[in-house]
Amino acid sequence: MVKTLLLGLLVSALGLLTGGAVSWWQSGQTRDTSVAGFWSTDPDIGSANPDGLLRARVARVGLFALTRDEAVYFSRAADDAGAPLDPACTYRLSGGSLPAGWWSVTLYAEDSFLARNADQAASVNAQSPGLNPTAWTASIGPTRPADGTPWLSTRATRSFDLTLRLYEPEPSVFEPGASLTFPTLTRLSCPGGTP
Amino acid sequence: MKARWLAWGGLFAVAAVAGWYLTTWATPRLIMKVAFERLAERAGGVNRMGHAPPTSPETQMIVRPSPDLLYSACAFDLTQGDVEVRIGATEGYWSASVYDAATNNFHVVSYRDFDPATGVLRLTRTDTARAIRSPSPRGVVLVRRRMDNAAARADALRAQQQDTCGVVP
Repeated sequence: MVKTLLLGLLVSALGLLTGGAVSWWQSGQTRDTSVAGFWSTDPDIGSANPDGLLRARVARVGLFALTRDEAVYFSRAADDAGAPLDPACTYRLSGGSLPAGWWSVTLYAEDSFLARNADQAASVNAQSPGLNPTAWTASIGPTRPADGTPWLSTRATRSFDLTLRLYEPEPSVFEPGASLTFPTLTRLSCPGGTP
Repeated sequence: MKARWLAWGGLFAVAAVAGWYLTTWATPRLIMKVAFERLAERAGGVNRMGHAPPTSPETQMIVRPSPDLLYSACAFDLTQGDVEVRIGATEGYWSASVYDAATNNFHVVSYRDFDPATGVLRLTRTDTARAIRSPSPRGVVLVRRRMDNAAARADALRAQQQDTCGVVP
């Protein structure tokens, strides 16, 4: 009788742990959806009133995110040729007007924090000095451009990715089949001279 | 023998389903509890407004912080009474998001729809037209201000000091 009771407790504990582990694994999965080239977005981040597993997932990957009326987030970790972003290389990020009240592009290191350097070059936006909001270019790489081009520094990173934030997005962003013109990302050079 | 194995299998399945639901329910609440305690500690207690410094590599506390925004946060506890949040006005974008204990963003106000004449957000546990009813006694108010250029930064830093949070006497 005692043996059966102990076995029952063991099976119950294993079941609880298994169910808990499955839930934890599921809530840690990203649901990034490609929207244009190598830009992708997670449609659940900032969604209204998620419940169940979706709420657990949003709490883990997007806690305190702004609602999608306030901001929409897009990320990429590859250049336009599909190659992973390399902090030793230099890239050109180019874009035009974006359908939002204001916007920014921020560079994050491999741990999803801002790169731990003193360059004060973690983000560019329409107000950045030297940036033409309707036809803009920014440089990404380990060296500050000599010509004053807005810069995102890759120093003190082992790898990096970019996040484009559209604050106060226009209604067109949410229209089904909306085709937004996203910034392009071209690799210009790498150490050793290979583009 | 077969019936015995079926019984053990059934017990395992029921426990697994219970474990799944329990973890799914608890995950956002535990994450919010940790965030609540950290924000309260940083503000010097519950029902007090904490004024975060501008985001930089040295000050960043959460993953993927936005350097475009300046944050104030209040971890509120309505068991001590209604809570009033006063928000300093700025020329440009600001918003205040209110989250319950399960991480639900149940209310948002912004510079677009907020009455600057009153400048007050009142949180309560009871149904009243004059206040916002919180689904849970505890939660977080997060105020964000645009600071993506020098003028907006100066304006945001000035207004941030006017953000307050406290129990209504």
